[in-house]
Amino acid sequence: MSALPKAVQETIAGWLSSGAIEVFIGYERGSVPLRATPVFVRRPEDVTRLIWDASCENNLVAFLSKLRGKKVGLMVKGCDSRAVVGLLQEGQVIRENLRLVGVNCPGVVDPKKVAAKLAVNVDDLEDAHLNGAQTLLMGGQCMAIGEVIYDLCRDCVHHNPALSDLQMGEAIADPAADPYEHVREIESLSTEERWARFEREVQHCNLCYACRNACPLCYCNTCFADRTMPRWFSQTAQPEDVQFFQTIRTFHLSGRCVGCGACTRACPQGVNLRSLLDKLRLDVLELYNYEAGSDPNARPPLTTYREDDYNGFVI
Amino acid sequence: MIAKERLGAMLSDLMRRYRLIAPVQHAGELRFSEVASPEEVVLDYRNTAKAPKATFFPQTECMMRFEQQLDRFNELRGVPLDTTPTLLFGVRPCDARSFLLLDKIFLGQQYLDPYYQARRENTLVVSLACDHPRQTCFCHAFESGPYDRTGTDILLRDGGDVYLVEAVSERGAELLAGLALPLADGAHRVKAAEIEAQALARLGEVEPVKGIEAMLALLFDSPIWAEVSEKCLACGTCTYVCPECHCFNIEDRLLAHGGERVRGWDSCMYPTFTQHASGHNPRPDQGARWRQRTMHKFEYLPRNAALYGCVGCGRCILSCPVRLDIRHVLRRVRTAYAEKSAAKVTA
Repeated sequence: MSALPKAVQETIAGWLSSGAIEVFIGYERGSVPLRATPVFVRRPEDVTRLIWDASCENNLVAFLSKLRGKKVGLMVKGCDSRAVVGLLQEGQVIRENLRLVGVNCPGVVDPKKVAAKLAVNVDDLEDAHLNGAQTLLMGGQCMAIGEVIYDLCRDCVHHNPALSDLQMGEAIADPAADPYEHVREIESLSTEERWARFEREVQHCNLCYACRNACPLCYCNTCFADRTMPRWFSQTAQPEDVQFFQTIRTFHLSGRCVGCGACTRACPQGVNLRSLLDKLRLDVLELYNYEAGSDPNARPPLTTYREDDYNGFVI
Repeated sequence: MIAKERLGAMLSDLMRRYRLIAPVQHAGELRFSEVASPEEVVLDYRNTAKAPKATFFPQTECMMRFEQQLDRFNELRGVPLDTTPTLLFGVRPCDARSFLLLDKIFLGQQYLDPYYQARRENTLVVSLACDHPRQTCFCHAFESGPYDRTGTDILLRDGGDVYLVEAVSERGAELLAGLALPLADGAHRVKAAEIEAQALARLGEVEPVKGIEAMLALLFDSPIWAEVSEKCLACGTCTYVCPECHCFNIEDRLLAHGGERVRGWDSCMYPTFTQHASGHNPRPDQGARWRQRTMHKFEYLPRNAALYGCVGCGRCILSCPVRLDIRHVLRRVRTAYAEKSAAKVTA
């Protein structure tokens, strides 16, 4: 069963009753197979609704910017906790106001991969369900969860939350792998090739802003995309509008994106946003020797000035 | 009726007279698209990811162009309307039914929408009865069902190795007369009835929607709206995949020497949807916006157009990044109404 361990339920209930938090954001069973849905628990007795399993894909940290100033508890996977670090670095949350249940996460299921394996459309996975921690079933077919987790999860090197008040699950050994492997080859492309690649990657974007809204670090009260004075780009999703939005959003995340992948999973069009963001993260790592999401006390490179900062781009 | 193996030939024939729009597989997603050859058509499917409304109401549409003139006023140019004879083939009954509301919006008001009208008048709808409703389907909450004939010109029903072909409208009958298809025999009719019964058996329990408008009328100030919208990301995906959502924005795109006026889909889920030029926003939070979405579909439209703004296709549930389920919203409306009524009685 995916219900949380009794001890964890009791701790969360205790936080609610004592007023340490006024709401706990977690996951509960939803209407769609293999996809949990976020739940906002306010009454201690409702902790029994909370679940944890490989269907818990949303980054719940995205909801924190809607609850500014409030005392909030939430479940965080390894990737999600790095977003909390990001918000702490930028002064958007106060650590004392948070209660984090950190989950050591082996990866969440990508329904598109399951659908591909079963040769059905992703909306037709009705009978699929998780069968314990290792396998999932659909129509008599069984497959290992490990084979159908997101690419990001497969390449993850931060399975265990960096921050938490309570840890759940067995600690997972992080592989000594290169999380930027999938974008290193962009380095060898010419400018024209890179542009063609970028054009191709974002061509199906229809400016729904699910990526921005799911991103825990996109918390501006008025996003550049919503400004009407000036109107930076049209809403009608022509290629130039899409390219403008994706470029600017990506650059606004320089030194801030923690690589949680919430944007890529939220995208209804299957745009490979991870490739754009990870390329920029690689650039920041190489130019400024910095990776967002590790140290709450570190200052993001674009908010600091050092004499020895890379300035090779200055003409 | 027509043997399934002869459908391709029939479609080839029809493609000499009509542009054919049908479900095609495109990079892991099933969508309605113009087909170049009948082999592309997929009919063994549940439903497409997005509704076929783009056939009449495209996501982006140029309404007019204007060209800068140096010595006089800018020149306005209309755009040619799309009057290509079209066959919209293989839509589900829920989608066919959805066109009724779109017709009321774009054709039934004081101002006729010529862009929509041109496409709609020149399109024949051939729907395919739904033999496998999904868990997220709730067409039967609207006194409809997977074999509903509302809104279509011709209905196809699965009869095993054939499709039974039934004219529903006059235009459908005209087209059918020209095809000279054999009448369906008893055995195939029985098979079709069997398949229909199996389809109906798949439908889950759902509360009928009728009457919800009266409940909503009393819940404008209810705290439920903040509650049901809490996990909403305001991404607008629900609006984009919905067969009934029809709100649009008009923008002028300035180009080198002139520009164009473009209509594009908009969503009430976006914060700027009702933002005034003054900066004031009468729907300042997602609760207010979800209240609007629900009331528009389930109270305002029934009162003003005698039609709900939802056909129960369930696409919004499947495509929502947080899996917000509109059926749960309706359920909450009902419990809130019951609570409110009980409170009135005891007060």
